[in-house]
Amino acid sequence: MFTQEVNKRTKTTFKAGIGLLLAVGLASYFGFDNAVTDVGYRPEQPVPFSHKLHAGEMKISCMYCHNSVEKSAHSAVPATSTCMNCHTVVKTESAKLAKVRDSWENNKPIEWRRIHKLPDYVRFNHSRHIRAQIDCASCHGEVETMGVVTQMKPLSMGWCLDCHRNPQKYVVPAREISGIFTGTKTNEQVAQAIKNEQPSWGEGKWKPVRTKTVEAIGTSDHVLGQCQVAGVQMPKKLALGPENCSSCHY
Amino acid sequence: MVKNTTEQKYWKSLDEVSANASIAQDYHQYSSTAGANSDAEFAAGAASDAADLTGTTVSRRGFVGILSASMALAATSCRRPDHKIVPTVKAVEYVTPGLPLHYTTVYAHGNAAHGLIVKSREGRPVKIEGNPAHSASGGSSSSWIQGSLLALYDPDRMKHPYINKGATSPDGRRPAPGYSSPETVLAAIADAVKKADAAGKSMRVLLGEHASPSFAALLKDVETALPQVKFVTMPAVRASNAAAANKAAFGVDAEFVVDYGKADVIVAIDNDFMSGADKNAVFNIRQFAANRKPSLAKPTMNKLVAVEARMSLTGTNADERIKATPEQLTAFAAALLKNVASASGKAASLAASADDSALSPALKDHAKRVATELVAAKGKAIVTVGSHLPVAAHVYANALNTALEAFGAGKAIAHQLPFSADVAPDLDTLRADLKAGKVGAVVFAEVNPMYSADAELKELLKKVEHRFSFSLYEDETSRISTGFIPTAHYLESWGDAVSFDGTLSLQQPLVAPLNPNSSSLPDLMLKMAQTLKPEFMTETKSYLDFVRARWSNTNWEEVLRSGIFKTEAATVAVSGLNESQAAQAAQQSAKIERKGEYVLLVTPSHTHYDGSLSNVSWFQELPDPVSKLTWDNAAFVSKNTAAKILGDKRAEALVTEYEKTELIRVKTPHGVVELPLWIQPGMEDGVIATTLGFGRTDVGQVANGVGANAYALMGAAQSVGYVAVDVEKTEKPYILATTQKHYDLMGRKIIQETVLDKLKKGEKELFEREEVPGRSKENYKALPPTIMQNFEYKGHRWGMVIDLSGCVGCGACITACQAENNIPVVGKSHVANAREMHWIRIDRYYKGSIDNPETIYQPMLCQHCESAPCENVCPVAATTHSPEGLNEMTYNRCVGTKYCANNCPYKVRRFNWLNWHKNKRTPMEFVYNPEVTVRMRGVMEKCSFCVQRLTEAKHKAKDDGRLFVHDGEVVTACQQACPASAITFGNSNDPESAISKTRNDERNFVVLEELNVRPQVTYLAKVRNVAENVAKAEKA
Repeated sequence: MFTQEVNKRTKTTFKAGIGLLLAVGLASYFGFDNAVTDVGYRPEQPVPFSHKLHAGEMKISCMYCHNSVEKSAHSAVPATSTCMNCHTVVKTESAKLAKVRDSWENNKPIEWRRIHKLPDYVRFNHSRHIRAQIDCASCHGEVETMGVVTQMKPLSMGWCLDCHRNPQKYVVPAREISGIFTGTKTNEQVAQAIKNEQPSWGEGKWKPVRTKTVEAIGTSDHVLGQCQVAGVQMPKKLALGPENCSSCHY
Repeated sequence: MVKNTTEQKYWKSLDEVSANASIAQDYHQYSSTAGANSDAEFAAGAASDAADLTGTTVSRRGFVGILSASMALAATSCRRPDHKIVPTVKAVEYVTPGLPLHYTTVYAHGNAAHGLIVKSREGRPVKIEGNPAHSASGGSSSSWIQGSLLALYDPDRMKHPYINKGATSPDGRRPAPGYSSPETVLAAIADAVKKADAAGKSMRVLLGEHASPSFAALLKDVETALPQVKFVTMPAVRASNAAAANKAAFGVDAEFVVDYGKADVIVAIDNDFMSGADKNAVFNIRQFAANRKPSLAKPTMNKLVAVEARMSLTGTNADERIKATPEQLTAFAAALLKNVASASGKAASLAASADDSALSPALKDHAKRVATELVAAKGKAIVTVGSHLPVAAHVYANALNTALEAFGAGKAIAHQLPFSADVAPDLDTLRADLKAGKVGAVVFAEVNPMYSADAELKELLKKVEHRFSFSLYEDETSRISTGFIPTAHYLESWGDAVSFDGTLSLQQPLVAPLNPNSSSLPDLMLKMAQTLKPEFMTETKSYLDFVRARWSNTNWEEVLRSGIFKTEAATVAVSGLNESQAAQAAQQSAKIERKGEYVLLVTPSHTHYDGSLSNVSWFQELPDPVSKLTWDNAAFVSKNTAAKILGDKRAEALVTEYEKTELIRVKTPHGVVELPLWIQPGMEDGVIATTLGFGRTDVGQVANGVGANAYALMGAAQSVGYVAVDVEKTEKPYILATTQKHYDLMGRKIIQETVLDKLKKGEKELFEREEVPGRSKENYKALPPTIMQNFEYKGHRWGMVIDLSGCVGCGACITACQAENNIPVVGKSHVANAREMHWIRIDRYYKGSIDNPETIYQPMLCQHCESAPCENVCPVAATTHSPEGLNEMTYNRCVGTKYCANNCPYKVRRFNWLNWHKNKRTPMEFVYNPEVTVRMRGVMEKCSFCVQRLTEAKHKAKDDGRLFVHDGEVVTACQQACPASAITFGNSNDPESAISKTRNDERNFVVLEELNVRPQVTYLAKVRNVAENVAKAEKA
């Protein structure tokens, strides 16, 4: 039906195609992996702010500056005014602080370089994790030891899910330096509130399943994650964080 | 049960009901020839060439070249781009990055105030909702209110004030912009007034309608201090017959506000009170629909009788729709009055003089029957008349409502619309002054007469020596003005507004003016007065000072927080019907004239109202609720009229190829416009209906050149109403973009309806349910057997119920969803290709004859099926089922196979054929909801049940130490906007929740239940308040 020439060409094209696919596949797998591209990202900041000095030595709590972290999805970088709370009296002449003073006096924001960045299609909520008493260090490493902040974790989906499935392996319990829950409810208050909670519709035909307790962090007393893929029920696993897609992607 | 005749079947478009095609035939043709004919699943042209769409002609070889080049580029750019974090210098009070703030404000749609709660993220407003405490909005909103947000971020808003001292280039456009400052323009105005004064002339400031007591007070102060300045109210939609009739009948120079919730029998004579053409539509729909949801336990509902010549949204929602010619509309009101007067003994002398000679015997019978129903419901009956109808019709309605005891506290008509006095006398004076050369300068204050006025007034205004324009856009009128100052959007300015029942609200800005050159209109008025007379209100630095001073004895902060300040408006002062004056007014009332056999009706558009915000693309793409047309206005005619204009053969062709229409030339004594012809079921023969709001020439990229300007067809007296018209064909082909037939459901039992009688009798079987395999008919509440594993919902299980009896099809949900979920606008050509992106659509089905069909609306959105057909076919698991019953769509996983859309029985999935967001111009990106991903080309999307709102509510519950979201704590965007409260949403696992209770209603049904896909969305059947034995109007 086909001439030999066509046959030969088809085969060559086919082989070349496979080769190309393999090359592209390998390159993207290794080349674009977050572990390769992002971990160790350590850009130079416009102001040589040292977390090691402020958090490590001065013991200023993370939440003094990143104060929106327990309320909001974002952990905001502080306004210049936060720096100036102290630096109107401390180190007022320091050359390193020239840009901060310039910002303050000329109402010009400092453009910090972003280190931890999730793709736009991922919704990560800081406050949820903080309120579950997951320490900053779980995802950011021990920032108080860093002179220049470096990305320590890949922040990839696999990495997120690993922890959602086996939090006991990864979660760093809340440390004093983070300041977790110092501003809002105590652990006991939250635990008590959850204990007191009765479903508003009582003991009906349908019995609600308790989804989470504070005491249970790191144990196996949680709902089973459910995710149907292609109509097939995925194996049930012990999970703390949700695993279904729309928990993070919408 | 309804007989299964052809007449009783549902149909969506003309070809289905045409002589030889039934729905069943459609279906079989579709199955056997797979789209070989016009009844195919997709609209003609849906499969057109990709190169055609993108406007590029990349060859296959070229494509591979580009592909490899981009791969090479990608390989060299492994490092991620640098992202900046830019915090503020001083921390802003109350603002936490990532958390929204909600502010109350008020929007005055003309003189109808709507209290709002606006959501702001990082200092920019992103979503508008109604304020539940406000009497008019009641927590809901309309498409118009939702879309007003996009106008704030419109890149086409003029940024610069300019002055060019009257110089115009040959093409009528101003030359190289002489950009200036607002102060210079104001100084030029002062100069112009001085010159005019010296010449014995004065200045006119033309204003639109407003609802602000403070603004009215300011204008009064300015007029007192500056006798050479006169303010004239000149709304684009001019229809003052209601106010004129009220003045004659009761001495009340205002329009009434009708509370439809207080009436059991409503007769609307050509009054489209539900559509966007009515400024109070949100209030009207809410009050009307509140009494439209009967159940077996409470089988009561109101009855709406619509008498009309065109097919309006209100007419399609009527229990009984009586078709009449335009001349018969007033006569119908007269006949009603005669009958009611003889039954009640009131208004006898007016009734005697009322002229109902235009009515046919059949219509007289109808009038008699309807009058009996009205009298029987005395005290809870009302007759309303379209604002465009002649004074006589309004006078008769006033007499009717007096006789029916509809006036007074606690009755249907208790209030009047603020600042709704008859503007016609003032406009007549203006015209006379202009003709007499008494006007030396004119300021167009957010009015656009060069677009909306009649030809004569346009010429007169152009002749005024000094012309200045204050406007959001550099519009048609700004083009002929010598000076221009941009105005601020209502979300950028301070002010106040009063609602009809006396509720006062503060208009609180959400954001400083995006354009520092702009100021609010009241601010400009104040500054203008202060420039003209420096000693005027020296202590008042801004309009905010003025408002605050007026509000000094209230708790300012508290009003800002709650959004309302309750005062009691006086009940409408209707002491007694002045019959002789009313009869005189009816006698002098203009008659509807015809030229030959045709008469034209011009009304405000449902989607565009007066055209002032036509540049909002959401309005352009919102389908008209009845015709489902987008991006155009058309000449709506009946099939018979189309055959008369175009010839039988062409009209017959239009039945099947309705999108490929042609332009007809419409000529009135006032102007000529070419409009595409559209065959609309339910139209009276000889009537041509079209809408205002289109045909802008100078507003912005979106609206320029879209549709035709129907203002040009109207004369001095009114810009809406019936006018004699001459029609001829042009044979110019024209394509209209409609969403009407896309995603056809092939005649399956997807809508259900019943009549009130059955509920009253307590019949269990309200409608015939679809047979479901494996389940007996009696056992219809049980789940049918399935081979799939039953899904276990352990926590929340989100579900929705939509009440088809409440839904009027207004489309507020569509725009609310668009705003909430960053849904793109695709443009006319893509809508024509069935590529519109709305996540929720409203299907419109007709039933019965093409002459006067019954209509039913059904909102259709992702049904979030338990065993979803889409999930089974996705090869990459981009669409999955959540433990809470959502059908999740993971955009970043989607590779765009579109298998899911093909397998979806409800046709609710939308594919991003192109990167619709690519051409967004600054500052339009600020309108995006930061909680929702902006989707890229090549991915599927669909309704998410507002998962971002669910997440937020669950976070709140967890923060409060609760396991579950309270019932009613989470509302979806469509539910929140719905003025009819037709949507219930909540946790269906909770037997006490509103949704569980609603689902127990006997009217509950599942669309396409026989597929056993188990949707989380169910519907309540529509109920019509007609006796089963009442003959249909058009048959009589």
